[in-house]
Amino acid sequence: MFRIYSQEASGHNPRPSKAGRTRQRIMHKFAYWVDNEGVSGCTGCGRCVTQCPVNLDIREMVHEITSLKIK
Amino acid sequence: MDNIYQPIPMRIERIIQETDDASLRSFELSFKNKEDESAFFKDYNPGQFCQLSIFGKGEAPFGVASAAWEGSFVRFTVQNVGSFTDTIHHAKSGDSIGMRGPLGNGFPIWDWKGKDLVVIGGGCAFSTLYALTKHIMHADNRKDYGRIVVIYGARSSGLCLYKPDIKSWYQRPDMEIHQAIDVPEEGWDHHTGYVPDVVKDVAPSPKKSIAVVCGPPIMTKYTLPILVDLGFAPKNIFTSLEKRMKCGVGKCGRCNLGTKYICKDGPVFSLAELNELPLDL
Repeated sequence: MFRIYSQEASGHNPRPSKAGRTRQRIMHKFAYWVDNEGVSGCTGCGRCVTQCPVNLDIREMVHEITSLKIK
Repeated sequence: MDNIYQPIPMRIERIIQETDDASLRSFELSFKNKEDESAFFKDYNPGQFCQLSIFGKGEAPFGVASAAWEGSFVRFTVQNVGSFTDTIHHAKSGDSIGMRGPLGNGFPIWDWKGKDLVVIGGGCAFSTLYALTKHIMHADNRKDYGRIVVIYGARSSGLCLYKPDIKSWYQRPDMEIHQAIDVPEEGWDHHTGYVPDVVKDVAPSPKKSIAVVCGPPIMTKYTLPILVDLGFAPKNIFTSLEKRMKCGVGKCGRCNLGTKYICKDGPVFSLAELNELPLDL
């Protein structure tokens, strides 16, 4: 996830680490929206999977997260 | 039915250059329609923000820097950082500008009655704290609150905002003001140093006190632990956050911090609430 993902006009970046940006990317669509509105924030359009310049597939990431067992 | 996305038409009345390098200007806007004005001041309390817009150029959130009693205008202090703020900076008195607001939750000043206040600000984020201080200093409101200590730091004396007002605050017996600049300057006889260190020096007492911190994220990050060390409880420490916004009314989710929206559940949060959220300041 590139640095400009959350960068503000002043130059300050509230999510300076890739881990923070990836967490925001996934949780925003699949966790926070579900908590707040009751529906998934992802419409399943597939544009992100088609356009990703580094071939990351968010479906694989979400699948991996949901298959982890909570200890 | 009200359209929450429709801007209120406003006119720029006065433009004040706040800093010596012209990077910060205050704009006082008046309402073109009287009914918009009464609706606005009925809902407004310090700490809220508005979305200012110029058709064809963009829309961005700005904190309100004036108290309701100051007159039938709304003041915003704008820093020139990008294309939209540059357009605002080139506007002249008499120009039109759109405004959506007041948005956000503002400072919970009704919960703070009877307490002492420690107001800590840095740089251009002082604008909403200025609104808060001016609101409380009004004769109608001052008796509801205890001692007020204001700590305001800027990078240099030329970058300090609201200079005439702050100068008059030194004469007031009902508040204590501490100004600070980052590096020593000739002729400066107040504090020198970064705001977190000045807070350590002033060491305000946490007894029956509320602390409000507004500043660049790096200043907030270092000031909050110092307040905790001084004995302030997390539920008595407040800060105002900012994030990139789009709708500003809690619909699009752009400004989220964890499950909270900065535009709807904020921008004012207590440290107790922040401790539950991811630290993407």
